[in-house]
Amino acid sequence: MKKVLAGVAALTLLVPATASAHGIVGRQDLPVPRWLFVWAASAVLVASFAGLAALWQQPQFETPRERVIASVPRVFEVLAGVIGVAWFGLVVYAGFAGSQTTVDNIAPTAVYVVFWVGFPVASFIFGDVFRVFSPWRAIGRAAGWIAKRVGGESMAEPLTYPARLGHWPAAATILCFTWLELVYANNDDPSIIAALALAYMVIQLVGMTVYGVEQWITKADGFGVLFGLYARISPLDLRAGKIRWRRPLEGLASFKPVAGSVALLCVAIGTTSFDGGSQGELWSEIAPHLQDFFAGLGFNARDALELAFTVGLVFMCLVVAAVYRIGIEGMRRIGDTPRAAKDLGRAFVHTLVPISLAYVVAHYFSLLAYQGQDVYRLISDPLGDGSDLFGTAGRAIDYSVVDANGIWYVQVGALILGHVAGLVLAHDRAIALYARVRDATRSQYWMLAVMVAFTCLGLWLLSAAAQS
Amino acid sequence: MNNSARIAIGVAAVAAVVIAFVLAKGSDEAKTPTSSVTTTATTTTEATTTATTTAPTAHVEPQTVSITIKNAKPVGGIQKLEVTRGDRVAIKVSSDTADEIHVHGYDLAKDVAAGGSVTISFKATIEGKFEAELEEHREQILELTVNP
Repeated sequence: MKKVLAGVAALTLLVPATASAHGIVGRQDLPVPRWLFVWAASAVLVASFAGLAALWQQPQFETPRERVIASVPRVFEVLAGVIGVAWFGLVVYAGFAGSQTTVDNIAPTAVYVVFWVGFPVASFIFGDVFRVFSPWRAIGRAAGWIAKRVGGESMAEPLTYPARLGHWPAAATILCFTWLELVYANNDDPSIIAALALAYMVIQLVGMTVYGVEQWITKADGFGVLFGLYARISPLDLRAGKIRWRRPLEGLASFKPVAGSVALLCVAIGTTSFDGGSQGELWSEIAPHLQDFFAGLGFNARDALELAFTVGLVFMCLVVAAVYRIGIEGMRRIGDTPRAAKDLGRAFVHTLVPISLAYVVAHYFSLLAYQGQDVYRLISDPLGDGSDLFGTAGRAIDYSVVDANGIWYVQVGALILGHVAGLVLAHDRAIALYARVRDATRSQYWMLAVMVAFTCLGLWLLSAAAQS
Repeated sequence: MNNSARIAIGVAAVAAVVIAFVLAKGSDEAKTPTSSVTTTATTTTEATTTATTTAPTAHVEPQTVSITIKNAKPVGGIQKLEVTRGDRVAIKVSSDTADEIHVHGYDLAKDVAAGGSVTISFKATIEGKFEAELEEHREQILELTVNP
């Protein structure tokens, strides 16, 4: 027993070190100063009420207005797929064969920075680039093409993807990945990252074989689905060999929610919140108690810490889900006939996408701006064996590209813009859904409360109030 | 409500937000000089008389933190040091354990022998929060905050 207590005591000291979970990062953001926090929260309220009063009264986004601006030759699609597969192969190979020191191996940076943060940011600007480069989609499509050549029409038709499953596998994927990133103690171990990437690839290939490439990647591939949702914010639509131009956000209104879509967004927002919150004062007070509790159940010190963080991660997702649910419950009784919570929840779930993206940008912008530069160094020496393939192995991160003030403005700006985008989408959906403008406006009191809650939570997590 | 009323509300909202930003930022900057009293750096008065071969900041005493390591852990827990960008920083470590002292972000490292001591000094040019740790023991010993 004494030994256990000593272990727990030692572990308590470990909490702050583990809390900065991204093993690759040596720098954390400074909290947003108080004045900026207060200003941003006020701006959110002003924007909300002005939006309520002044936004249009005819639905704008329900009928898409897109036009083709370019056609992409098939060779580019194939080329992009090859690049995606090659990049995936390099990351897995480096993870296994390269140096196991996190900062010397390209795998951790490639996964946690380029993949997990780079793609959401690129998607909301340029459209669904992950769909273009996705290594599993490329392999799945290549395999399908070959099978058709060899087997002809005798191939078995893929099964119909169960409607009840919907986006639930995608939600589970994002939860598992963020658990790996934020909770798992060996999250920065290159060979573990490589093994898990490979395992994910295998699951995707099996899933695509059973249900067909398109059905699988638009429902069950968590990264494909989530990055694809962020891409719907973009004015560019890259599908079926065409580049189409549309109004920004318009793509989200045509998103067809299925079972689990709400869960996916709640997981996306909840896990990012936990990442922010777990670096704060409140969590570092709660975590040791949870850890003691699990240690008392007989878990060793490390497992107890992981369990404590797991509880925090899942709890934040549930909080986000509960807030959304309260908003939906409030809206249900508006209008002539009460609506089912399930339908109403799905009808407004796309409005959470810009807020989720804002959370990602607010939390990971500096990671991308600074650690993203490390790709220059790592690409020349992906295995950390001292090679210098492109002459950039000596490149250091230039921290002068943006200073603390710049980061604060991006963080706060992202949250405010995400809030306004969510507001506009919710307003547009409400006037399409309710027969009377008055009912639409009343329903928006509830959605506004939900969004103000999410945005202010995001601001609070960034601010000094949460951190010390 | 007609369209011009809508536009007026939108413009008014944007104007209110912009004005509030300027006011809030201004009030913060007005406060800054008083809050800088907390910095412990003392300027040496000889600075003015010596030849100005180096920048004036070089004559400012570095912000110093002394950390004692016992059994591969910092005595008194993780030490904290808060400085302003441009300050010089000196991290003095006396350790009973041989290891490498590593300041993340700045990526500075020095070996310390068992029973020895080492000083890492540098100019704080990058804003943010940084960890210094005992590299081999993966033990954080210092949280360095560099404010703008």
